[in-house]
Amino acid sequence: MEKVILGVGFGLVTGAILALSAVAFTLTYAVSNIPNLAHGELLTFGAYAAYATQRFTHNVLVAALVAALTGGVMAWAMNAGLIEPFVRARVKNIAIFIATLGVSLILQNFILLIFGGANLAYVLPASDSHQVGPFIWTGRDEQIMAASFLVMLLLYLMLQYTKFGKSLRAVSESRELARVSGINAHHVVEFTWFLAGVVAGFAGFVLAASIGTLTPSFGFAFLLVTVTAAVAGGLGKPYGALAAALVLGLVMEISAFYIDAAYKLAIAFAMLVVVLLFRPDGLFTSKTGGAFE
Amino acid sequence: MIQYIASIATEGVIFSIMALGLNVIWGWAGDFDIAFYGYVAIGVYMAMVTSIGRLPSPDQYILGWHLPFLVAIVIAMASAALLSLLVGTVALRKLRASYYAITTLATVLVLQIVIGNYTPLFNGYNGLYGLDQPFNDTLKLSPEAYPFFFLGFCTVILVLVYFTLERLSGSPFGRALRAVREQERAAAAFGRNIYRLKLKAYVLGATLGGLGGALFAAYLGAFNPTAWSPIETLLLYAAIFVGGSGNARGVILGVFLVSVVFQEITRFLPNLGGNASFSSAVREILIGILILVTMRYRIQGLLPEPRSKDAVAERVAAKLYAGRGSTAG
Repeated sequence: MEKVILGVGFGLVTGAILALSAVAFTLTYAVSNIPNLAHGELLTFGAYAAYATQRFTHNVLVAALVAALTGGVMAWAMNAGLIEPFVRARVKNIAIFIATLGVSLILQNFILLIFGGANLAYVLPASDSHQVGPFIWTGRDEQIMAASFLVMLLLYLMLQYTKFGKSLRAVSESRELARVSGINAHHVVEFTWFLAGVVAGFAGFVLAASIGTLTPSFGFAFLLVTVTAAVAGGLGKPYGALAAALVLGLVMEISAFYIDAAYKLAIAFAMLVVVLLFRPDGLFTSKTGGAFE
Repeated sequence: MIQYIASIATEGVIFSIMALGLNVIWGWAGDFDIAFYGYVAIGVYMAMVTSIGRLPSPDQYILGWHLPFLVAIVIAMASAALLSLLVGTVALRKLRASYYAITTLATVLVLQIVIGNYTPLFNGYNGLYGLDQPFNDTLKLSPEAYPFFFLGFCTVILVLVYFTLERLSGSPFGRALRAVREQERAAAAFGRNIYRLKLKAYVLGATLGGLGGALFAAYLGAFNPTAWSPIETLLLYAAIFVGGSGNARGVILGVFLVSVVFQEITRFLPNLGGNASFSSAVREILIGILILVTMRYRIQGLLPEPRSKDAVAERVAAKLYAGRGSTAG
């Protein structure tokens, strides 16, 4: 039982990081209907941008901001440079999906060219672990969870209460209907990609800070876990992705206490396959619920 | 130099066999399967553990037989077929398009993690080695002559595979598959069992992957999990896209263009900035660009799939379109 409680502690941290990435992934899916397989590279670019920034400014906060901004610009460019032109040229969805895989290949190797393949690491203040209630966390773990919670809260408020949030929900239901109701769907889609990129870039920074090292393929490695959470939450449904990310984080970390930790990812992917087979519309969807249920 | 060309040609021939297998799954049945390199890997591993005998400990792996290489090939193909039957039975039932692709991607990663970590199976991340020059115990060829023999051996197999597939492609099975690919519902309405057709294509493709893997095992001599990532499947896809999905000649052309010419040209790039992975990074970027360009401008590839030659249907279609005039576009 003690192991389970410890696992819950670690699972919350993993879930917090995963939630950032999965919500970002699902938001772009919500407006464009394409699973973006180059999503992992938003994390990678964010993390490497933060690394470069930190070497010059020695400031962690600036590094985090640059990570988020880099992710945002990259995601905006992916939509404007790849998704939208391909959609306009009436390329089939599966071909656009394959094209995003091509983009992922290009971007990963671009990082490999610039930074090399070696493991890099941020210079972060030492952070000792301590007991918090039944859990063992480091100060960094707590910061990560707090930051993730804050981002989620902001996203929630934005989606529920702002005009942009309402437009986003409308566009995700039907771009055509939103357009005839006077919503500038093009702008909404563009800004959603930018916003999702900001969250993903920040997630990349957080992920690299959490695992300690970054490599050109670390975002791609995280992509599948991200997709798992997004699919389990129901593709295109941010709140579902958030809940699924937490569940997945818990499952992975608790299982690591019982089975060799090397199989952690295998368990996540096995869960993905099971979800796709039995609840392909997501774990938390009801038949009547809308896209944002 | 001529040794080098023989080596590249052998690689191209082996990749062609794999790509033809993948082309059955993607080109004929239209399933974007990312698990494919897993079947190649199983082929490699099974060919090795059934033919190299026992390596000295601490290397550990299953079987450790010392069978003739031809038997090992058959076992490799059967193993890939079995595994694909298992995966296909589950994944092909109702998953399509990107959901299907993501599931197969997850499958191959699980496979990689399990094989990498569970050492008693195929020696984990250390991998296997020791498959040297099959048939040469009896042939007793010189080290200079052997590569040409092996090239010939692989080419004969490629030719066999090519003609078998060409026959199958025009058979009722091949035509039904294409019908399923174009319009699943229409094919179902005509009484086709979609699931069984797709599963058959999947197992056929994977079996060829296992065959390619067995030959690859002999070509490489050593193999470990870092040698097969989802990216490898993507490289095969790049070859198929560029050459022409669904067209066997196109696929072979694509393999020699992408996997061979690209591979070899970028190998001679200057090593800028002391970056050890410079040439491989440039190569993969070029392949990524190639995928983008094909997806956007020429999805049918350099040699498009030939249209079916059904004279009756063509006449009917011509009449229909003539009647409709210019609105038909």
